[in-house]
Amino acid sequence: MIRKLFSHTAMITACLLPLSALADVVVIVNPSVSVTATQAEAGDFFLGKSPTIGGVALKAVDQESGSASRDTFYEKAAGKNASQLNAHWSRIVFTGKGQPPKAVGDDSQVKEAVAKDKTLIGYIDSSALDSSVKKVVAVK
Amino acid sequence: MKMKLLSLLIASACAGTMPSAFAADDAAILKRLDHLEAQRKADQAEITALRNKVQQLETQKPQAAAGVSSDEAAKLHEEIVNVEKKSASRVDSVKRTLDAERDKLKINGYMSVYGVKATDRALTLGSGVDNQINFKSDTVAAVQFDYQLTDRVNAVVQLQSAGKNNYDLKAPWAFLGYKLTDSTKIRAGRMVVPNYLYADSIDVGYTYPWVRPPIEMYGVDAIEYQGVDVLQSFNFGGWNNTLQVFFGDLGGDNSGYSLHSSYGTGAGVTLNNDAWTLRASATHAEGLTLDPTLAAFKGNINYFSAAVRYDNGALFALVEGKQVRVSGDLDKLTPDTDGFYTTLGYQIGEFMPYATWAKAYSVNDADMIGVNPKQHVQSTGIGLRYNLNEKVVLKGEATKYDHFNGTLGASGLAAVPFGRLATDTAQGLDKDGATVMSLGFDAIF
Repeated sequence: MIRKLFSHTAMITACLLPLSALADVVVIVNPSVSVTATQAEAGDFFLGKSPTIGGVALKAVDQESGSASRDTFYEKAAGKNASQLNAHWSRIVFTGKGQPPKAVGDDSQVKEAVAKDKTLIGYIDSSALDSSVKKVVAVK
Repeated sequence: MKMKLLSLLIASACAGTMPSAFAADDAAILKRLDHLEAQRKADQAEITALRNKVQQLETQKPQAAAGVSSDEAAKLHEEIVNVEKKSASRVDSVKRTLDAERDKLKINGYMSVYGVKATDRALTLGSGVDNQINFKSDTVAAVQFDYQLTDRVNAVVQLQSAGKNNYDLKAPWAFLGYKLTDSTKIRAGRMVVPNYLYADSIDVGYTYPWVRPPIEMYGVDAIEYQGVDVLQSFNFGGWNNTLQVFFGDLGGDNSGYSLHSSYGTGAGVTLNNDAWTLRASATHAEGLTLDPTLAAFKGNINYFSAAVRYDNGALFALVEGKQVRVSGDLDKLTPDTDGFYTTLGYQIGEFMPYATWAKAYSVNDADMIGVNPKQHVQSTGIGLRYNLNEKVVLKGEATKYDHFNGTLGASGLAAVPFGRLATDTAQGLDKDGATVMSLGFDAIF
């Protein structure tokens, strides 16, 4: 009985593991921009806690809610799930202190926007990374 | 008086900015669309003309000498393609401009609906909560417009209708913001006094774990003012911090009272590092009166508060405390009070169970004749927050108030300027206390 339970647990764990391992997100900027930042600094910047990132004034572009990269990014860089993220921004928005970064779509749209505009900083799934953009830091 | 006039001017300037900004932009967009339509017609005419020419040449081709028209036709085709490209790029450019216009205006809103009931009719909370189920005390809806006038200037207007104010429409926020630098922002207009951690977002239930912030700390309603504030962010060694300083004229209509002041001023500093948030603030209100019935009692109030919050996404722990010090004739109505609370919560998937312990008590006697002015109340509450989806949370909460020690608890009258949700009378409750149960939802949109 216990063994059966064990094997079930192992099977479930085995199914879950690759899912979480898949989700690795990288913070990206235009190839012409040079900026260094840690994962935590990237999280703070996207939450609007810090006006600059690595001393550079960039503009954050977000992904639409529901994107897997978005969930991973905020979960790992800021320790917030979607509701906690909304609560964070609602406190800022409804005290008139700011607005969340603009959401432009998914991995490919963020990559395209960042590749075109050197004032932007975004994040994409690491599998979407190519030479059109530059990696700042991997969020793990 | 002068100040009031100035603040009125600021407020009306802010209120006036919005429609005119919209009007100007609407007109600009219409003009641009008209212009585009004209261009499109011209392009279309050009394309038609070229097509006709090609057709004409092609029909002439059999009669014409061989080889004459094929080059010409190719050229004409190229021209058609060019005109079509030009037209497409114009459409793109107008689309981009329209997108940018749309990005300038942000419309957000929040809403809470709660049914609230106390177990004993001797315990009344503000807005008429007693042992009958009541939907008025914590029900609120608001919509906010945030319009970016230029890269640096924005205008914000928030309109709110709350049960505690008989659903009268009011504008707790209506200001112009100016971004001086990336880390300095100045705002002028109507805003909410940030005397405690959640004071300026007290009505946005979505942003905190409870149905309502503990009344021992948040016994009064949001206090509005007309004036200016400065938000300065500064960083050191992994800490992201904000200093907020305000000056203005406190005033507004809440819960049947009209609040007036000579002036109010305060400063708060918030330090944040990852999961840690530390906040301290001091606020001074000069020459406060409550019209119309209590206008004779004029005085000053100093509010001091400090808070420590730890929130790593799973564990939520919070301690906050206040000291309220009253002087002048106002101290005949309300004694000096201290209050504090602590909340512990833990996020498990979409559920967050939490528990709160809170206490408030007077530290001296007000000398109003005929009423025991002392305050004493203590409460223990448990609740559950559930994220129904990204925009809606359901909450259920039960809070037991007791330890009234023969006092009024923390009455609406004594908790000047106006009690939000406070135990009004504690007759007969000393022994057992009473429990307030709340069930409902918060939403943002």
